[in-house]
Amino acid sequence: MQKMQTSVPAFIVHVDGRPVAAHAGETVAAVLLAAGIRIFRRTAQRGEPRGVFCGIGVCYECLVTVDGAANTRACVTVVAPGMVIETGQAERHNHAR
Amino acid sequence: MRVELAVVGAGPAGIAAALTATAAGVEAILLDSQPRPGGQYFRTAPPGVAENVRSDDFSRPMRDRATEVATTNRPLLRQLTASTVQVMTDVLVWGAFPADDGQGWELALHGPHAPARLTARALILATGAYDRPIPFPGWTLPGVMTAGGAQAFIKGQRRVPGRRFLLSGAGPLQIAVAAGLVQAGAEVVALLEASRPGLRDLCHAPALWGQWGRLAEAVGYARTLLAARAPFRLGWAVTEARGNEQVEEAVICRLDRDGRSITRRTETLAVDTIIIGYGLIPSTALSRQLGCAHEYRPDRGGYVPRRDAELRTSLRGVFAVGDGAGIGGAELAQIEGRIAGLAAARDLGRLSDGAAQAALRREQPDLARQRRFAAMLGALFTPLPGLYALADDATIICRCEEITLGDIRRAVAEGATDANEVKGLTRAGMGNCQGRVCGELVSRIIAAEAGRAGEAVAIAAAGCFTARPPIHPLPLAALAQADGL
Amino acid sequence: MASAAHTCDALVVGAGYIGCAVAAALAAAGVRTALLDRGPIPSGASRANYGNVQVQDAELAHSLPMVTAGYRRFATLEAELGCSVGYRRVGSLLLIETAAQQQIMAARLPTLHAAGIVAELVPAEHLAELEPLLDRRAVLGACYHADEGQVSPFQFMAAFLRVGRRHGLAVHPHTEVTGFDIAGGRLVGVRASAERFSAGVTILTTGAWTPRLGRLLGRDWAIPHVHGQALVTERSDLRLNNHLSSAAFFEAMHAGEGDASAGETRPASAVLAVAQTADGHFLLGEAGASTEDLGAHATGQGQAAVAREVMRVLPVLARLRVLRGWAAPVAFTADSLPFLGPVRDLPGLILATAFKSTVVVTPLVGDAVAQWVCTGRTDLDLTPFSPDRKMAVE
Repeated sequence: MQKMQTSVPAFIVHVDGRPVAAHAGETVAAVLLAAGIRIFRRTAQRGEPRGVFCGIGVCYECLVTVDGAANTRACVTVVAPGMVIETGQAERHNHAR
Repeated sequence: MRVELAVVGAGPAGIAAALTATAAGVEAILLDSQPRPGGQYFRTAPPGVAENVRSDDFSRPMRDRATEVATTNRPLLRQLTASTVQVMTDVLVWGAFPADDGQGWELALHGPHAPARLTARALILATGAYDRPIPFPGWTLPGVMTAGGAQAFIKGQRRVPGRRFLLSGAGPLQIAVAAGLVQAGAEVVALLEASRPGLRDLCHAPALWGQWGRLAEAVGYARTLLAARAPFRLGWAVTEARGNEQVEEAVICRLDRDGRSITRRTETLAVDTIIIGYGLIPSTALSRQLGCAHEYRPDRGGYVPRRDAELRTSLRGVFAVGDGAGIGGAELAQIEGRIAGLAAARDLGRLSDGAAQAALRREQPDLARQRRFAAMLGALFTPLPGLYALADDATIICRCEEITLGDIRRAVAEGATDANEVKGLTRAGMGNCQGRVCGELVSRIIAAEAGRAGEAVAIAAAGCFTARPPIHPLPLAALAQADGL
Repeated sequence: MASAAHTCDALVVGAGYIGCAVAAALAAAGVRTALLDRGPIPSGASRANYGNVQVQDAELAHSLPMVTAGYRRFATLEAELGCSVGYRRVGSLLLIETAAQQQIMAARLPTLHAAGIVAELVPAEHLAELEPLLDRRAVLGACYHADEGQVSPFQFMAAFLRVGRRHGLAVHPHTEVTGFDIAGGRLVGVRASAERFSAGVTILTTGAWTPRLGRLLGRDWAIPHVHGQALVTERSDLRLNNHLSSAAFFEAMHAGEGDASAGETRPASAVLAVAQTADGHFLLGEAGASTEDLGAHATGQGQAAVAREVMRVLPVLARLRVLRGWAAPVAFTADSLPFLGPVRDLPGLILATAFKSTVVVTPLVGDAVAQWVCTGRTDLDLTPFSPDRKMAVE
């Protein structure tokens, strides 16, 4: 049962197409863990699952796509209202819109 | 934008440096890539995030408000807020170059509120450190994370990043993490310390003199862990992570005195999170990219910039302080920050020789004491050579490019003799993290293949990956603005 | 430290493309060979190179036979070496942006065609099918040649080293030549700090470092260099069909040569050179600055210049993340001809360096040097490339 009591602004972000509650100051990684997601991406060659490893922005394991920007580190990216977060089933690439 | 002094990194060392220099009248700016100053040691949570209360699949909110207060109520952070130090957060320094006029340094910046370039006559690098990786089969599974990463969740997000924890490592950092987890109501299935301090380690006891705050902290952690009856084992380590797509169980093993696993003494534990804490590696990408001379000092965490007594690097006007110049902890970091701040102030003509000398002299007793303590930790908790033998040929070493130990061994067999040659042949170190995680591992493997596993001279001879700008990946469009035009 | 003495029949100094190929060819021919480099192996400009097998940008007066023969060797190279070098066929577009460049490119065509190189001028409107990523508004057109190629630089050099080692090649990285040994008017070896290498013949394949070594021998070889910079991006599923470079290379190559003052680096400008690796990384370059300094440091200005130049013609790459930049001193000559051949009045010394486009001729040059060392003659006519030739006065 999800219970939310907070005095911090709460808003909706989108995680793999579904709305998830988030709060100002949270990182994408924290929101994903809270949403039950630990597999953030799959590797390019072997398709192996990866998630948070170093937690401080050094190792580039926790990569997700944020608002269309692929390979964004979830552990150092702070959520914003309406943010679109996609976790990866395959390696994602950065295109111009 | 021009300043007299740029301090890169707002952890304890950088904050101390900026406060000291500013107090002496230097026009200084303090830069950090995080949203709030504090670095890792003094990491704070964004206001109010502690009040989120929800039950989750993979994380729990912290239960203990007292811990929150303790971690955010740092005197140094209060001093910074009360000072006139110019602080710029959310800014990445992705390269540093000699200034065109030869009078200082140009920093290339990237951030939502930052100018593209900043010119400073002097630089103090306080770039901190990150967790040392010890590879073992299954270590890339989601659910394996570092002690530093767990601390970042606990201190910075007020969340516990899992439910059933195994902690495995060497040294005091993971004890602090374990205590934090226990206080938050997490289930610590076991806490494993790989080293087995013995009678001969009593020779380090004098280094504890004066470390009353630390000893008190340690006693506090021990009490928390004892009260929770968190199982603690000396001379054990995790040797394998297993699970279908994420951690479901861990294999742990008794170790001999060299850290090699005694395979008949293993157990399997059902856990969902494995935290590895084997000490820290100085973050030297910027100091190497700049061109400072470095040396390999395993007692200080790995490659560190060469420094003189006033913490100047081999480059004129560039100082390096704190864990980023050699692992030593938050107290030593602050002392070093003050020393470099004083020396920089004198160089910039803001402090007379006499005043600087006197102030620097005052720092020496504390400096000596903290250095002794750091040396003791290094001697006791440097990972034993056997721990580097946990990986097998199928174990991934370069996580970014999925290069295995077997791949690297084949490159060495082909004739590669140093890290950059291995990199060319295998692509290890060419991925997103540019070799931060696998760098020293590759040099160790080269030494081991030459029959000189763990020998510092052989590891040093294998060198380290060259660091080039941008020291973090950046969009092409961001680089296009790099010269401020 | 005790001084070490090594003896061999042939000594190759400089382990880039040419050095690795020459050393391999010599070793495979049964010559006892040693390969030295001041840095890790591979090194220098080759380590910084894209691996393009280029044909249509060849120097026209004397190089075409070597370049076309060199290109033909690639069809069978992997079979000969017994391993992959990542070779694939790729086309190339030399982008034309000014009327002057258009004239230069058009003037080259008859000579190229006569040599069997099918290059053609393509106007901007028709570039869409050839290179969809290109912003056609940035160019007037391009000179297109379908039959070029690409190798993976590290695999390419590793393959030669492997062949060499199989035949007993001794490899010495981190060994910098500090002096030469001459006896009886003959070059008999080199010194590298405390080590001594004696050899019947020494081949310098040292790129931008060649003049420095030449001065130790009292020679003034005219091999200046530019400080070239490039970037590599993360993988992308955007596909670049052709190598892209600029006709401006034909104009700008020597532009800075006369202006470089000692020790100073001119502000960076960039001339386009873009390729893509087989697994999708974009190679973006290149900024060039004329300099006396051999130190290779990537600069923020150079990287900005490359980024702007690339985005001008390939704006779709704007969001692609750059993983790393690098720099290297890239040797060139005023007449775009290499220094390839024996040095008159210093028997025992051969030069094989400063090629305009190195990869395409690498296997051929390896064979030619081995042939010269073993038989005293070459099938390839080396006269135009003589290290003793008089350079045109600027």
